[in-house]
Amino acid sequence: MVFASYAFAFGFLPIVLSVVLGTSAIGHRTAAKLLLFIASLVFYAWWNPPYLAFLLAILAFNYVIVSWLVTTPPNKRFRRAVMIGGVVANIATLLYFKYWTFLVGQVGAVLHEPLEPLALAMPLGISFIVFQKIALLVDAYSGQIKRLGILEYGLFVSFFPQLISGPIVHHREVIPQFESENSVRYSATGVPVAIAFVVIGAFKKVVIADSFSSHVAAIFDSQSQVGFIAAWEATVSYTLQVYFDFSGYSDMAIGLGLLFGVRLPFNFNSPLKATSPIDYWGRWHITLTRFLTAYIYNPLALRATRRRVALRLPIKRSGVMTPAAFAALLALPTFVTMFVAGAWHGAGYQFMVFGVLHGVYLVANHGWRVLRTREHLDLAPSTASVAACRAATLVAVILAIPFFRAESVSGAWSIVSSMLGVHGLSAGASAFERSFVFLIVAVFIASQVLPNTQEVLHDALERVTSPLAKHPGETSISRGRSWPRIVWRPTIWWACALGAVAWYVILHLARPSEFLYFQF
Amino acid sequence: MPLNDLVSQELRDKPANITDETGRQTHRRWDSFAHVQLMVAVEDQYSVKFSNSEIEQIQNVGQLRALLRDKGVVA
Repeated sequence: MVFASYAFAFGFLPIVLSVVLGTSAIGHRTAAKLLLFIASLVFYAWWNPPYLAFLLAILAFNYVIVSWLVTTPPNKRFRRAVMIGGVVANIATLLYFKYWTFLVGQVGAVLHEPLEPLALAMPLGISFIVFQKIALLVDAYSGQIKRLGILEYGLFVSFFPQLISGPIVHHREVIPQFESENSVRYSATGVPVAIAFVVIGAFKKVVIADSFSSHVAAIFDSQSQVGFIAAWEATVSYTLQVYFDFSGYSDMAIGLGLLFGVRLPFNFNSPLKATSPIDYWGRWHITLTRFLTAYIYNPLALRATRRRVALRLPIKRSGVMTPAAFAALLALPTFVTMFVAGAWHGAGYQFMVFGVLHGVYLVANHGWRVLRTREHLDLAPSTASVAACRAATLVAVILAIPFFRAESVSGAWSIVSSMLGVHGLSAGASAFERSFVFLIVAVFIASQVLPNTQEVLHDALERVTSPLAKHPGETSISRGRSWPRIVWRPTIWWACALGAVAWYVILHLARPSEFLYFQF
Repeated sequence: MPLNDLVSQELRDKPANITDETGRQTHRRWDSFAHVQLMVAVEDQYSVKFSNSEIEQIQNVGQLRALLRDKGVVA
């Protein structure tokens, strides 16, 4: 079941809301949580009931291990081995369902003997579910989890607003909310803010993102060579489509969480306004970046840095990082992390290229910072330099997008080479009708100048959620930096405007399409 | 070396600009790489060791100072 469908909007959601919040209102909060847990399982089973067996199995397996880790003293033998075993089992599950067909195909290609892998149906949201469990196991091992109630655990892993495509929530930010008196309870002030999030998110997905899908597919799925203009049109279109699709989904997830009194973390902060690749990854799919930094980059970089310090090898000379230290402490951990980031998105060499390409961007960005320090070029940023940095970042991001969308590396390279003018600047005029080109330009300008959903709704969100629910790292998102400054308020005008938008969205729900990130 | 001086050295900023609120969200040079470098520099300076989860959770100088205090270091 997708959020942007009649079945969800007029069936599942109203029924679950009234049953769960009604049960809570008559004083049965534990029963209300149990009903919410069951509703989340129904939500997951809706696509394909056998998937539910997978979800319950992975849920039970991890609960047993995490419970053992939580209740055993830190010096207990085999503790580390049990944690590693749990992490390996989760990764093996992901490899089996997501990459097995790809891996067997590659082995067959090497052996010049086509191998027939088992036809495996990939459970929905497996990458998100597995990553969340790995974080839980590692944190339980390191003593961060003091206790784990089975119902709170069940809700943390299955809570339907974030189950399929995130945000990748951390137990630290969700379990205390489910344990508090404020969650799974009707809030008269919270509901309007929640609805605003859902309506804006649905508009981004249904009206904006879905408008691009058929045009993008026409170029990327065709086998014929396209020209410079058509390649740029299609790639910019997909950049906008994937941003509005996934950020729309994330907005809806935050709004739906809020309906049940749970604040989920922000996932996007206008990534297309980033002024550097480092800035971009702090704005795009924030909860994935956070996970990769905490569980892959930090351990790798820490280990390498501590080792270098212990061996008394130089890290800096005259305040500037040495090339050897740069390679070992920054470049290598960054490449490994970004390779995983790319591969996480799908089984195919194109995703790995996508990740490594962004790794190159990030290393170049850090290298530039080191160079600026060495050459004392640390000048205060001017309006012109910020604009230039923003444009350069945007071009770099767009040039990597074909590897994210194409079916193969060669297909992506064909588009990229067209974007670079290899197939002629004049070869092929516009691929799309004029009205569609206007749409691309209008949506692109909107992505560059309008405030994002978080900027519009952050102040209201702060008012209706407890400090307990505030996520670390959200302070910079709240500032209304964009012009024009648009801030939602509980007024009749906002209600009318969002009501009109909601009506328009509902009219377009007849053409449901899945969110792009469901495939990951 | 006082903690603020160490942070200012790692972030290449004036010590006067470093406060307890200086952090990952507020200082443009405090990125993920600078974070790791700073944590290891603090470990080396005060002879302490942080766990991965402690390092992940530190958001600003004030939290870093509080963590050091928990480990018996006044910085």
